[in-house]
Amino acid sequence: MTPTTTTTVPAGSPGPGAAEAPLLEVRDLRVGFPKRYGDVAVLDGVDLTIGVGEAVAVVGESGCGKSLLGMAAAHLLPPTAHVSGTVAFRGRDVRAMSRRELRRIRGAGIAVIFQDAMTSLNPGMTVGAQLRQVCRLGSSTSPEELLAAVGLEQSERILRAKPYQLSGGQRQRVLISIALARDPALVIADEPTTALDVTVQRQVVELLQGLQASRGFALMFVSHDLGLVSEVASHTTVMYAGQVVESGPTAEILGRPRHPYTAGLLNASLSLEERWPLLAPISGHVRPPTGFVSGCRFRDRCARADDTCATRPDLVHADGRRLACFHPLAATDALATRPVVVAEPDPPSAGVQVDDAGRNVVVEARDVVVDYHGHGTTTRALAGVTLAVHAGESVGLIGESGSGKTTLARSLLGLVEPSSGEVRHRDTDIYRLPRMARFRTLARDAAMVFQDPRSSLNSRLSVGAVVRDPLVVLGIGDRRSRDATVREVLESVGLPATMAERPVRALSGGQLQRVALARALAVEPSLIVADEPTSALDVSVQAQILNLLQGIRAQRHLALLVVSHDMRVIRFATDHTVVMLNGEIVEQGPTERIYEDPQHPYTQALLAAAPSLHAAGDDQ
Amino acid sequence: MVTSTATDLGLPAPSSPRSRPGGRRRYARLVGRRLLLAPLILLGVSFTVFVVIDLSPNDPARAALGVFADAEQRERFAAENGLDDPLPVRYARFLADLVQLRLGESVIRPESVNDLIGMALPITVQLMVMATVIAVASSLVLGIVAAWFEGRPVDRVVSVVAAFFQAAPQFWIGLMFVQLFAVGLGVLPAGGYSPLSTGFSYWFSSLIGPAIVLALPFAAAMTRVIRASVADELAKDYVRTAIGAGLSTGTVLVGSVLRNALITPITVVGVYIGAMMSGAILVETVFNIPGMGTLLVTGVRQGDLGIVRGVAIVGAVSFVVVNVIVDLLYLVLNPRGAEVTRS
Repeated sequence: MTPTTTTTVPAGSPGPGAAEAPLLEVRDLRVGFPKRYGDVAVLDGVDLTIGVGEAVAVVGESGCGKSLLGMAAAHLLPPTAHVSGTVAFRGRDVRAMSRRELRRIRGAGIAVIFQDAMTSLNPGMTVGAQLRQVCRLGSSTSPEELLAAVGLEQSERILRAKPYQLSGGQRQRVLISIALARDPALVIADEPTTALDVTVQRQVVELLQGLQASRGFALMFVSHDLGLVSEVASHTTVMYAGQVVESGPTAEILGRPRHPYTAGLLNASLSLEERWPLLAPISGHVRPPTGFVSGCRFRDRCARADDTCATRPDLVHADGRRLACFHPLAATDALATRPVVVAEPDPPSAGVQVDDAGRNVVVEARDVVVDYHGHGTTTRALAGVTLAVHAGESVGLIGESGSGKTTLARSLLGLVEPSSGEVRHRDTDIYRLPRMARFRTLARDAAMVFQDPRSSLNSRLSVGAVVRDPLVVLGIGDRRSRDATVREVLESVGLPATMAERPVRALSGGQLQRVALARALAVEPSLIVADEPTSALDVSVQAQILNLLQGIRAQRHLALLVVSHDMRVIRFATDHTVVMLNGEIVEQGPTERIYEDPQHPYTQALLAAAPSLHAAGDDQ
Repeated sequence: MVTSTATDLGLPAPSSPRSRPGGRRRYARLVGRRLLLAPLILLGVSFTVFVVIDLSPNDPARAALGVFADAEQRERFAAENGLDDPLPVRYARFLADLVQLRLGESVIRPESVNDLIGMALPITVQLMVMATVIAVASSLVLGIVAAWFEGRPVDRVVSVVAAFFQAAPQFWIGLMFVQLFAVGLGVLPAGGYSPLSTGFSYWFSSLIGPAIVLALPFAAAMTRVIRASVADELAKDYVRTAIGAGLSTGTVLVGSVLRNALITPITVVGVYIGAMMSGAILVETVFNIPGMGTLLVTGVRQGDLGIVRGVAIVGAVSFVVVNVIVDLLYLVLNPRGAEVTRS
């Protein structure tokens, strides 16, 4: 198995473009980090082929090694990585190249667009300096032309700006322009739009697609968003825990998934998009590399697994795709799982629908105006917002960054004092109360669930301590009753009571978000504000948390305010939707009405921008 | 097809007009306040120096006239030199002299304190400058090399050696140095100072030894600061972007990383120079260099309070001045005003 023999055998390359020699050919790639994970291969025998001008997607949840694969393809892995196998670019193994050759390949042959444009640009250099630095290596275009190509006008101003002076979308465009400066043949885009708002995300994706068409580079699109993938890529490779589980034409893979993991991912997203009564999550979560199971690494989360799965399935050719599974879904039942889940065991949200006779308002904002004062300038964050949340009702707050949705949520919780207008909590104007009384009232009756549980929960404490904390601070109950409450709320969010002993840092993201919810429930509030409760989570886990939120709201007759930029989350989780733009509510109404018949042009734009799996499904 | 592009094109990020100059301006204000504060600090120092030294059991008259002088002679001496005036009067006189840049008289030596410091200060300054150059140059090289090879043997060796020299007492290092290079190898003189007029090589070889010993702890501490700061910066995402775009590692290191990474070390330099001044007292004594340190030690030993006061005041002024210069340097070098605002 020397590099030369593997690269000269093109027989294994799938897809229609197989006539030409592939641009990038990854064969049996293994990557390990011996110091951190011991013998475990974080990438385990990965194959990937990208032809000239082709767009290939790599999908999977976080921790599945898809970004690592991108880095390996550009030979940008950290020096601690232990690598074997071949990564051939235009038939030559990048691992065998000299530094000089590598430098020639990077930028001019393979370029990378990274996920977080803020940290991926040098904070101390102007955009112009960074672009010129790259152009000096031999580019046919000037920095001004490059910025124009990525749709940035006012190039003079942008060139003189430092990265932090630009908006997120502008930064991402600058990052793209750096990648394209030397006309690469292959662009590796590692979650290029994840940190962006929907409409900006849409613009960036369209930009990438347009550039790909006009410049003819091949694209390796690393993403967890199946909707985006279905729009961008002609071929898709699905990865789980460092192994390729299924790959082939995108329409095939996403239209008729054979591997249970692909089907699970797809169901989780689709159920969200089509508003199934209950979402279809995949149970469990991706383990850290040290916990990878032997054989098929998906078997501990797979409903179809049995004893045979203890040996690793080979990635084999089967009608136009490659598949590694002993018990694949039948080719005939196209997304057969869809009707199965609709069995609706106990319709949670239907019982407490809109017109409850005794609809009592839990929290209400009346004409709230919030100004932030900076150095001599004043920014109006909220310009007269009126909103009410009733018991048992779920209200969704949607808008892009800077729309004021977080400010509104905070002022409802008594954290941001409005300059005019009032916030009434059960008929008390909370900003009339003295400061401490306000905090005390609201701490007992309202709770918040934050976006990223890993940073909002103290990682040094045990789960029990985190959940018990609000009870201790507010002096609710005694030691024994607090322990009982902790056990009870942990069980109500689907965690075993024994979990209380575990340290917070040992939990997965989904488990942590459950803990955050348990902490919120501990004081038995009547209002829960969830600020982007699922955006830090993978799609399969998102579905678990959203189902849980729905169930708990119905069971406890809670008022729920969900703040999100994800249209699908709002649609599933709420009865009433409020759309915000520049500190004002531009449209509100019953969620279904908003989604089916949006009135305001901004709502229409938001809906149009959201990537949709539907398109892929309807294509075939 | 997208009707609303309000959030992206054309509009600047909402916070940009405020955050841009804010950091620098705020820092400039901070430096300005420091500058205004400097005279006050010096006033405080002069008071402390004067009063504390006055409280010491030394009797200048006894120091000047020797142990055989009787009480009458000492009283006459005190009256002639204004030593029997009350403390506030003497302090006021001291301050008035200070404003006219006169540091007073030595009660033992014929020269004024000004003349004595005038002879000693240039020597100490030469020693300090040489030590600073050695320390900064070696810590830059070693710190960057260690950061580049983070976790590898080179890094380990550099870190261990740096920790050793940071912890070892300076007088001991000095003695070992003399033992090795002067007594053992015989390549350097064991002590003493040759002015530049006696020839460059004599001058250089008389100063290089003490300068190295003075620089060692300082270099060791700086190496560790620089290593940590550069390693931090190398791990940042933008380095990966630059390498991924085909820039050579050297270009990335020199062109981008060092500019960002050296800001923290520069702020520490001022503090270390202060530490080096007290180190100079020890080193000058060990190497028998007639600088400020030796002058101070002699003054203390002989109970010559005028000299002690003069050296202390000059030391304090230099320390304040050095730190203000470092602050200004930071203001010039810091390319990211916003980061100050954020942190």
